[in-house]
Amino acid sequence: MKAPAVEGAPEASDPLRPDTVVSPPVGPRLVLLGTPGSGIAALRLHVPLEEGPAEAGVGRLLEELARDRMEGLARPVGARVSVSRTPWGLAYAAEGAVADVEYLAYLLREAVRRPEVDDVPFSRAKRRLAEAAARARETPSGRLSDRLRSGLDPTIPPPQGTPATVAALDPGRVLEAWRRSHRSERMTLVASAGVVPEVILAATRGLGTDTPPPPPLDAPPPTEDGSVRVQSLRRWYGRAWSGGRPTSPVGPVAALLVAEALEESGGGFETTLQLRALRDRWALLALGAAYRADVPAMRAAVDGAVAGALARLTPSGVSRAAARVRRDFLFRTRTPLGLVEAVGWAMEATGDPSAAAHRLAALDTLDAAAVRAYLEDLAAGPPVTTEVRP
Amino acid sequence: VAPAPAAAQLRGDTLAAGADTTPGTPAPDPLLEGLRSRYADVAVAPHAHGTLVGVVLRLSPGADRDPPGREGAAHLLARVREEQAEELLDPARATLTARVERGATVYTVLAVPDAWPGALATVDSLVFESPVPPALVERQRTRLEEILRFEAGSPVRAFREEAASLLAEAGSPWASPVRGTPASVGAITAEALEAWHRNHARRSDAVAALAGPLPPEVATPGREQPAADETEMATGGPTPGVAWRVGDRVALVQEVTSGWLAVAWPAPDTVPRTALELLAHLVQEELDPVPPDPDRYDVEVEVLDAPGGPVLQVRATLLPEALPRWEARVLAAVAGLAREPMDPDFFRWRRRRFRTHRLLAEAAPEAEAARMTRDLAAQGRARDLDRAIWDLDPAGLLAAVRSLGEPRILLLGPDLAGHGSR
Repeated sequence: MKAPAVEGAPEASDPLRPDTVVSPPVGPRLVLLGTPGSGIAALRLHVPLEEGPAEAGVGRLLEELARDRMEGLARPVGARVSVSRTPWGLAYAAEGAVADVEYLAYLLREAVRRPEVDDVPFSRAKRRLAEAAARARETPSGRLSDRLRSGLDPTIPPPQGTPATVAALDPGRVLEAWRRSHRSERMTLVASAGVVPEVILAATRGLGTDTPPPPPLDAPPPTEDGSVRVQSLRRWYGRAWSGGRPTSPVGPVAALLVAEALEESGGGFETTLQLRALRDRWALLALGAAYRADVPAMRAAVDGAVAGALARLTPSGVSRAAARVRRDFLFRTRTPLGLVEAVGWAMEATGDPSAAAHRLAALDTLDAAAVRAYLEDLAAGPPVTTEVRP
Repeated sequence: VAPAPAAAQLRGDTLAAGADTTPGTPAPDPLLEGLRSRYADVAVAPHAHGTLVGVVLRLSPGADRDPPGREGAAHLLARVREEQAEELLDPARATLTARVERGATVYTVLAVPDAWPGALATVDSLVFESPVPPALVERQRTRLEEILRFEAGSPVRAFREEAASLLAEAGSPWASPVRGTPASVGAITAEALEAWHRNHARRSDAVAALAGPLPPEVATPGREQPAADETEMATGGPTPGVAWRVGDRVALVQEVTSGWLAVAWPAPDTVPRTALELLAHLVQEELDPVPPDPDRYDVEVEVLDAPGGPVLQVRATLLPEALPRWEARVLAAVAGLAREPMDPDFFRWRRRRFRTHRLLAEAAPEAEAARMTRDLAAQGRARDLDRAIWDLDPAGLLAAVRSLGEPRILLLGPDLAGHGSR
């Protein structure tokens, strides 16, 4: 057996930079961080997953199935577990005492093992997913968000699927997606555990499946029933902009400024701003809802949100927004779980184990000129809009 | 806030000059020495890594020292200090939050590693030296009055106040509403708040704790709090203190759609705190298993510091018709644990779960520092929590549960019996 390749020597005590990165030939790639806190270990395992159009929602279904399994096993030792669908795949996390680190690794092993697809939990998970897909289609804000997201990048299926794709997620299709994605050599484990790498390596060897992967699914999506109408009393309108790499802090800083501009323009209508990460860029989604008399003002506010942020841009405003993004980031990363979540998320986007540290450093040098250039790029992009009428 | 001479001392500028430099003697860390010279006690939990340092200042006067008729004064002052701090601290590097308890005021600073000494110096100056600005008092009082008026008549609030009054002697200011009432808050003037500040904000009544990525010299061996034996720590005076000796049962009727239950047991202050916390954990798990009882909305079990000593308290929000059944269930849960020592293997498994639960509860540096200040205030030393948990055994748990005194019970809910339903 080939020896694991150690990519990085221990570095200075920047908590966002890994102490050690190890790439065993059979995976998973291991990124070890220092341990904030007393006696707590946190592990986060990332599994890349791309869904074909015909299997939209399969990632969320795998997430539901894994959560049920993990929670049942975590309870006896009091560990905490979570699963989340990211723009790049699935992330499984476990947090508990350092003394239980091997058990935490076992929880991750259970999370990524072959899902049970022929029993009650499968039907239950599928029903929950179908409900989420129906909610996204039937509610004005869900419908707007979905349309805006697909307007920005039509190649990405809706993460919660559609009623037709969820209905078509039979056991065979789910297992194919699992075999294609849950392969040890494709996984990355980020750990803040206070133990030597050998312990983690031994505990996480051979995760997932090692059978040959099936070919990618390129079947067309099933036909949707397009007759469903959203019932609403107000007119809903949305506009989306996108740009900037998801690890760049300019997206969150700009989003705060655009949200402020949107709020300032408010009158007799409701507006919200969402910041979302796509696979390769940030997306800003401005949504508004208004009764008939206020529709023109609401549309103008939504359409003008980025321009409004540009018009009121000041160096002090940028500093204030950057300070808030920085504070929120440091606040989230002050615990072992928050740390592995942040480092793992940034690494998913770039493959660089130090991406989170770079993001924080970039935040320190972000100035008004950079934010202005970013907002101008957003404003110059092709308009992506949609609406839901009463 | 006027420039504070305290700041230089807190940064260690003055004390460093007098540090012991004898060869072979670890040099005292000027930062820590500065803190130890200022406050009644200091504890430190240095970690090798982390993004933020949590610093907690705990002052012994809390809402229990509010002047009669001006309940809410300590809470109002805390809000004013928070607003002042927003102007003084760089929000990207440090923040302050303030919380008032019945017997303490807790200031929490979260700061990036190189900013905590300066931030603490600013907060120290603010808390102990800065006058109370009348304009801020006015603004914060108006906000607080609005909130209290909105909450007026809330059964949840009524239950909280009644549950607190279970734990203290009748008429004790400890049980008065922490945030006051619309009338009492309306009566608080800027001058009264300034007087409260002058009379009660004393460094000699404060303890401090730090947790997080601290400089290596702070972690110098021998500079930390000595690990303490819990039995030794818990032993108070020659006569054990206890919150009360005679139990009670109160049933209050309100036309509401939920039922509330509080059951509290006094424990002698000689019982190790960690054993009481394990007991609270076990009772919580007994009462609130997965899946939960369909009759309950919420169950919380915790160890509180009542005026006379520690108390184990269960609070539950329930369907009204479940109140009698739950009263019996809560009493039975504790009585069950007092029957015999737990099987050692079973005990080890429960202790493992408890340990994880406690460690995760202190994953954030400010949570760990807050617990250490509570330890310092209540017991004179901060626990080495991990060691204290490993030291627990079935006999100690049994002794803790058997030491509990007569419970005080409060039930609040509609009069179902009067309508022929109960």
